[in-house]
Amino acid sequence: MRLLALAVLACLPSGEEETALTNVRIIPVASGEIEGGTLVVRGGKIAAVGKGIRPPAGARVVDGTGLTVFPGLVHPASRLGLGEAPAGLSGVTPQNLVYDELNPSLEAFARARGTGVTLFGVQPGGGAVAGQGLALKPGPDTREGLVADRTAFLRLSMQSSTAVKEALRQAFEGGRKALEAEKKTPAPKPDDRNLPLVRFLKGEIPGHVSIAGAADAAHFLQVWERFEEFKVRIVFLASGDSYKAAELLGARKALVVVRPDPAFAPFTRDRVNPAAEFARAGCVVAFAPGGDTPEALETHLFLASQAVKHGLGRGAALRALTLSGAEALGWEKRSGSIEAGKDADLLLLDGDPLGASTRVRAVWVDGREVYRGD
Amino acid sequence: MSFLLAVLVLAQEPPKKEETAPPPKKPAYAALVGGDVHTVTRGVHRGGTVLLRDSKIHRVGTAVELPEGTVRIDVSGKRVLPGFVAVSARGLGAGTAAGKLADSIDPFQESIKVALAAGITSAHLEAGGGAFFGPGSAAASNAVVKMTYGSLDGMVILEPASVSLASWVNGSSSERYDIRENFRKARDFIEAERDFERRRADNRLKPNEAPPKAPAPVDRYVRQIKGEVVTRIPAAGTEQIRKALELVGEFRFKAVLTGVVEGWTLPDELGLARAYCVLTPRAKLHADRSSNRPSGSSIEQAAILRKAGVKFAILPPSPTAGTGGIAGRDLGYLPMEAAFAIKGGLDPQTALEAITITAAEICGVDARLGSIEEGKDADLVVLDGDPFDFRTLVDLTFVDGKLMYDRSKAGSFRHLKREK
Repeated sequence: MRLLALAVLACLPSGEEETALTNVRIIPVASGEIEGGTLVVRGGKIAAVGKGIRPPAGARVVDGTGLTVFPGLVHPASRLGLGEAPAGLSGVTPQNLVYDELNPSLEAFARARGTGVTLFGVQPGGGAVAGQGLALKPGPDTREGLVADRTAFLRLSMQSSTAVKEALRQAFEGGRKALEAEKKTPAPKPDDRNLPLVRFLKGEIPGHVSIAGAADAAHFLQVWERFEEFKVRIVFLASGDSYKAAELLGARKALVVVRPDPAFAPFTRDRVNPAAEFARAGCVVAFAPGGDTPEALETHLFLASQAVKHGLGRGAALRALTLSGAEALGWEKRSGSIEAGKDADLLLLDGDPLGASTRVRAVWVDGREVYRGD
Repeated sequence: MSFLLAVLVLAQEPPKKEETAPPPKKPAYAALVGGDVHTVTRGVHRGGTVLLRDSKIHRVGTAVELPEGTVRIDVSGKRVLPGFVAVSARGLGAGTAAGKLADSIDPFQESIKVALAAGITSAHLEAGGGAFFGPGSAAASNAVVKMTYGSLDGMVILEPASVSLASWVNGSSSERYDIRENFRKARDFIEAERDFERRRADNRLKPNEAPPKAPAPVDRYVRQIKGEVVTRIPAAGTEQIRKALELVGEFRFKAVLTGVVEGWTLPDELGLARAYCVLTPRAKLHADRSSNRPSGSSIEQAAILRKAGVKFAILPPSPTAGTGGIAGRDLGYLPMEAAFAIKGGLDPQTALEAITITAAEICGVDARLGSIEEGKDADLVVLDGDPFDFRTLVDLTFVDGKLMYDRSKAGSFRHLKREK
């Protein structure tokens, strides 16, 4: 099978032409799996997907027997191309762009391409309101080619302390005032500092909140109580014992980004699977790899399979690897699943995505092959 | 027991936020029925009922009518007591960040579960004042906190709860000078305030005269003298106790002497000053052989202070709760520490008060906690025996009317099967 797949890959696309991949197993994530399906890619987008689709006239037809097509993975909490996150406490710098820190010449990008991640959410480091994160695709090797959206989301860092809670309250209050001022005529010129907060409060960009434990979740929600009128997308980047706040976050159907690996409950030898705890409570779960090194990225699919082994549903795990991550970046309409009209960000695998022996045979970003396995 | 399950489910439901003005919520009733209700302040109701309405105690007695829809919890053969109050504790959710304790408290800390399993429903906690200031430093914040595991709602009920004047007994003479000066200024301020009120009543104020305002830190001392915040002074030995009482006698504030060991040597002075004490009855201190006055610890200290009318709370040697440490020395065994006082001659009623109502009084929250009375918070424990019997276990713990601990369901004591 592997030999056959390799033979197929020898004639995969490199550019703009129309390509039809036939006889492949397709896991679209947003809908049911398709055996022996066809996938048509045109102009970097998915043109058609399904069973029994006839390849369009003039299209290059590639027989994908033995291959599984899966959406490209999404890493919503990355520091790829950056140094160590600067530590801050209560600083409020919404105008900061992580784009300005990005180093596109890093070898890390080239290596990351083979791991199957096709969309990164790059997180700014810093204080309570750290700045704006960017969405990045591992496409061509220039900064402009890499960056998909340089103001994709607003990054907040929660800490259970008076200083941070007060800083967040004041920042949201500033955003609210700027939003009210916008409605006046003539509208005053928006301030760089408040614009990202205004966009967040309007629901235009998601807000990522890092929580190092369940207490941080509870304290953040206490701060947010005064701003519940805003219909925003809040994404919780959860670590530590945050899973204990699963009920609290599940009641809001919150989107939670976690590492997939199960841990142990404190004081016990009981396995605890944070992803499953959050999912059971009603949260939408997205997975973040344990780091940006090729090693961490490469074990990501395996750790996701461990989350399933310890109680997370397979469907939820596949979604956590892809579509939910895209949702965390506000990109769910463009990437994260295999649907007609979406970007052709795809993985060609030689087995099931959660299979231990499965290898990534090829990675497509916007319909272009950026990696080919040996 | 199936009723218990119903309450448990009720308790774990996350609070829901209403989008529009909510319709008046129907009160939820639950009743502990058939147990011996030890109210602490109003005697014992054998085979009595405690009716809870939402988070409060609604009715107590032997002939309580249960409204329709009341969740009945049968506790026949058990004892119902107010939840125990720890007058000082480490952990139990206290954070380390500077600022308000209410902003750094962690309602998910495991030690809270351990405390609940020991029948503790509230505690006086200290938070760290940042990296360089541990608990006990001037920068540390403190609060009275309920063991509402998993929720910040209603967790911190009083902040700040106390002021520590450790430097009065342990500090330099200049620190002592400052403390006394601030107390004097506070006393003068209170006099000025009274004068202002009198003149206002008689319409003798100057035009546009503003009421007097106390500058920091005098404002804090004003609150201390007025009794709005409790003053804690560590005072183990006779000399430290004397030193503390000197200040109390001069400025008449609500004082709590903590870690008192040699209080038995001057019970009448403590009684006259109306100072509260915090005792650890099993604490050991050898007598000073070079001294010709009585010294050292005495197992009878609590009983002696009781006779002199001194009010006290009891704390174990280690004010922590956890699965580590030495069994029997921490808050997991709070009633056992009170049992040591009984061993030294104290009556069981006062011993019980020392871990409930008097402890609440020392924390400044006795209007809400510490006894089973109508209108007070529904913080209750159900025990399977005498609280001072070493075999007794906590069966159920309620905080704000919610079942927070059920021995048959979870925790380290779940596996224990007791012979009837």
